[in-house]
Amino acid sequence: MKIPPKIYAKVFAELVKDKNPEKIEAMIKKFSALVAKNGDIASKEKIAALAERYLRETDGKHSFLIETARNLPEGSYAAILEKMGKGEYDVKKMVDENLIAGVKLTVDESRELDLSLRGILKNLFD
Amino acid sequence: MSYEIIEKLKKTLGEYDNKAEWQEIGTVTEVGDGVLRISGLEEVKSQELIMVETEKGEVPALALNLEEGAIGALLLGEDAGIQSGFRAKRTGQILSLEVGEEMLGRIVDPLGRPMDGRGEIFKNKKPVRYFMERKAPGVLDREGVKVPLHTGIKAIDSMIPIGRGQRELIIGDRQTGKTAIALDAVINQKRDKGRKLPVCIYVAIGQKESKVAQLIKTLEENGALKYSIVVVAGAASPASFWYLAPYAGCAIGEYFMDRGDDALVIYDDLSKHAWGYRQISLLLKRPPGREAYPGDVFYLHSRLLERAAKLSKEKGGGSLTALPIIETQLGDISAYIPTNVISITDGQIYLESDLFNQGLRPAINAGLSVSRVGSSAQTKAMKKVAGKLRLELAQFRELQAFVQFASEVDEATKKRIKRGEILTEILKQEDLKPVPFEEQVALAYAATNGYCDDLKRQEMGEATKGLAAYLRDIHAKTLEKIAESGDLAQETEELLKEALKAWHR
Repeated sequence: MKIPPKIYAKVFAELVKDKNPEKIEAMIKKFSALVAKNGDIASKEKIAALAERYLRETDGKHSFLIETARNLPEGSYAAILEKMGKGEYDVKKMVDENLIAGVKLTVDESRELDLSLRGILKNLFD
Repeated sequence: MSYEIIEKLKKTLGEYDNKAEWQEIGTVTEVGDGVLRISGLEEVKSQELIMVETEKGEVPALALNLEEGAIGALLLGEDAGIQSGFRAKRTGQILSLEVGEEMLGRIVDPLGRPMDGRGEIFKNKKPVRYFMERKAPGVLDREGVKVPLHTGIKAIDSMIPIGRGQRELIIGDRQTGKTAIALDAVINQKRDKGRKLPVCIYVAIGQKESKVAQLIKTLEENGALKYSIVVVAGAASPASFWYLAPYAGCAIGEYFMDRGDDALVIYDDLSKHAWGYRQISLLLKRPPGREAYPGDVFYLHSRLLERAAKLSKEKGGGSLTALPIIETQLGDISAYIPTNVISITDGQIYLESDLFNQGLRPAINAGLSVSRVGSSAQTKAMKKVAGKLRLELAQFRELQAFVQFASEVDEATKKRIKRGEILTEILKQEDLKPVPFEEQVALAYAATNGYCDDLKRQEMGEATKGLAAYLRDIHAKTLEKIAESGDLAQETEELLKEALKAWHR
């Protein structure tokens, strides 16, 4: 029976929670071998992404992607984070020249705030 | 001109209010065959429009399957260029299209976009948007079907009458004249004086583009395109367009119905509509039922056809008449989809290949065809002649076996058989030559009252044409009286009798 990546990810997140780093490495090896044995190795990236998300949710953290048109000084990123208010954020930064200017924020890969010039132009002419 | 562009830009920029808001987004996980799987978007509604961001711009999709953690969506554009990992955003809008009077004479796709190369449809006024899926009018909002919708086809208007607000199915094998009947019905509307001209919407589902082009040309040549709208989901369109096209046509018709006007919508054909829906459902991994159709294939057609109605005066008095077409295989009307649609509609016009091949055109099997509205949808004049016509034809059908064996029969039976043959000849009609109802009344009166009894069968065709031309040219006033009053009053009947006596001599 094919096991969905979601189930693998939940099981993995449960297993590695609160474990020692030495034990986690051994656990990852065994887990990978099991996934390969079940013939689901093609979904490994999906399983990894979902596991990361579950672990983050367990710790009460949110993923936070900041996309800008060019590299900003560290202080700018800190100012953006401060505006987000309370909450713990696992911050990732990305440069996308297609934004032209401004910034685009994505939280938990499920909510987005588009403050880029590209977004404004798109809304203007749609 | 550049000054105008600058001023327009300034105005647009001045009015722009940049309110950025948090938007819900999802990620495309699978794409193929016109269907997407999107993870996230947990608050999306059923039938909501989703926009997928690609390198070439945004592609719309329709949320159909709402599952835990993922959505099955139907692509409403090209899937080339969409990859796994692309973002998808909610629009918050349920699928709808722009409707309005400006659509008359235009050819559109199921999303309401023009296909005739004549530019934008709504240039001046901001159009109204109608949802593709709408609730059918309730019982209290309706009234009985009483106003006729004349198709111009003698066999239909006399024996299988259609009323405004009725659903009448046209069913038969391929190449039996189903579309021809629908086309004649559209063309005849401009000749049907004394009643409001209905807006005609022809929905082409899975048809060859060449056939649709020919149909549009025919409508144009006959002056019918100006009060018609053609919705095209051609054979090369994706299954999503085949699925949406009838609902788009219905939404356009409802706009006119809600304004108090009459509308006629032709779905050509719903068999292909069911195929398209089956394809989509299988790709969305919905469980297949009988003949691999999804379990809700009946609901697919019932919710569409229930939207045809005759509204009460309080609701504006408008009507939407539906003529769905179903193609059977080898004359099997007991198959799954045909029986479904027969049970939904208010009657059917059954076309047979055998009758077509015998030269009886339109190839209507009067025995198996029925209109459940019946004579309520006929003018008084037609009611007076149609009853006798129907009865004599039914008697003839029973006696047809004797005709085949050429057995010895008594005089009364011979007369009945002769009368039946005459009536059968009178009901034959050429393609694209609809006959106004007043002429039909006069012809049926002549045939059922013995004015054609001494004609030979092979003479009937020419004799019918001659009689019609004679009445039109010499006794136009008598026909006008029938057309205006809708009745065959005693005075008018006397005039008609005199005209027929003179012709008979």
